[in-house]
Amino acid sequence: MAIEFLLKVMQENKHRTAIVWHDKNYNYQWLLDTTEKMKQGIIDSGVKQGDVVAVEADFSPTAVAALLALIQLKCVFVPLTSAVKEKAQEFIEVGQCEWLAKISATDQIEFPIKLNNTANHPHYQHLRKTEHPGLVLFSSGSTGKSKAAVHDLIGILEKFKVTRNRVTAVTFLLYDHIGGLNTLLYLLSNGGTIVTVPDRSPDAVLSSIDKYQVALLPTSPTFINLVLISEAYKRYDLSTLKTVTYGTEPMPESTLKRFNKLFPEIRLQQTYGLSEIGILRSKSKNSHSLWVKLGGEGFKTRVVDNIFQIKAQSAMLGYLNAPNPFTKDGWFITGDLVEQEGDYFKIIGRKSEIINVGGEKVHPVEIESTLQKLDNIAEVTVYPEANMITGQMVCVKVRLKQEEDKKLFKIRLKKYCKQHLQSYKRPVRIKIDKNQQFSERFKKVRA
Amino acid sequence: MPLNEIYNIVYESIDQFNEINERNLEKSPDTVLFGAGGHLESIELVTLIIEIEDNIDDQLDHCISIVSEKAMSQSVSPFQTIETLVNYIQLIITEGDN
Repeated sequence: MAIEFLLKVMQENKHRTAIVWHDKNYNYQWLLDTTEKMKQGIIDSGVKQGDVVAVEADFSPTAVAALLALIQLKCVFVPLTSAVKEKAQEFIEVGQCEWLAKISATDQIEFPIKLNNTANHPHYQHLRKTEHPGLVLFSSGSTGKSKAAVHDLIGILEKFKVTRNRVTAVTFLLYDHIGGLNTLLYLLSNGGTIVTVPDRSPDAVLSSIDKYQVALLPTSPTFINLVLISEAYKRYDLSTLKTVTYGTEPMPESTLKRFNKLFPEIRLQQTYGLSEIGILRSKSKNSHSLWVKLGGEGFKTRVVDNIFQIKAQSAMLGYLNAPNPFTKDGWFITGDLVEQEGDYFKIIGRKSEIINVGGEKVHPVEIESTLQKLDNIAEVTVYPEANMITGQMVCVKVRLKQEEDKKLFKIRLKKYCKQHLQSYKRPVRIKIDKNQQFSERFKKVRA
Repeated sequence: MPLNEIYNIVYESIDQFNEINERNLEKSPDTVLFGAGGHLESIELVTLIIEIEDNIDDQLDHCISIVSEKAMSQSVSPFQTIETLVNYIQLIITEGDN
């Protein structure tokens, strides 16, 4: 059975807390029992092995049980969260979902109802033939249409068979995100505790860390910046927090430095993963460094034309709605620009986000990192604008911490840039904007 | 739009440009901006133009785009001197008003 090893660990830890949800503890025995009930309920709804089932939920006790039940029933699991509510219908159709289950805000399940789709994609046929459970994840689609990546869950689960540390962690990344599922499976496979959060504001997350003695927070650089500017850390005891992992987007060096200065005892660990490939094992050189070793068992890495490429044993089978992206010999071209020094990599940014100013290349993250050090800046996003003289020019959108005279601020920013950036890297257009600059996944949205 | 109003804004923008970039671009209609004998690099020209656009937007409530296909296809380049630039700005503001 696909998750026999997982059930065994759960059985061994049956008296331990598996999930904390709305200030209530649910132990592993509860999770095992509920998973059985879910299985029966799903079967009674008419769902069969190999069927494609969408589940609308966020991390909750029942949502975790539903996932485990669907894996055991060898179904294809398509998680959908409120972060994609506008796209849910599109995802259900692209995913050829045959069933839709919903888990309410009060953690009640609405068992799967039949939809009018036929799941006949070759990747689904392959999963049925091999009698393996599947998973569909949607890429963020920030640069176009979201792509649906189909995974064989047996491959994804393989790496969790190795026993690692048992920890308590906040599930910050979402239920439909490769990082969120990775955290969940890591915790379950080691008898750890999943602490869910009522919302993902700095105060809500840090208060959960304080209250439940959380040791691990997997998050994004954007959220780390929000913690710093909100000063929420002053209001909670974070002494149990040992490790903060960050991924999903490049880390501005200035954010890393500010965090390290405030929390010298907390280990900062960079992670790297993609909906198409899964999460690589990673090891930051140290908490102060953006250099990271990437790979681990089942992954090979290489750099071609400064772009990071990965070959993974457990890569997706392919997309449902896009051509096969792998090279002939099975490498996935990530689109991430990297530098390499021995075994270590430094992620510079997306190749598609480079700004070309009269032939000179500008990396938005580098400029953002520099600007973030200027007083009174809460958030900053660098983006390109077309320009017939230099091709593109560097523009910046700034959210201020406190109101400031627009004109004086612009002069202050420009003088600062003159001191710290080469002329082609200096933002030409400066906009002040009161809106937050990140998505529901706490990832910077580039205008 | 009277030319002198546009000159005022352009000169004010040059003051800002000079102060920030520690330059000494002369405020005179004959000052050569870009091209043969020009005082500005391409990125400096873009910087000054965006400064001017911002100031026009703030002070005259006109949102204009100076660098465009139209600007590039003028028989006399608007970016040659301060005078050609001011004349061109007047042209596009007037066209925008009509």
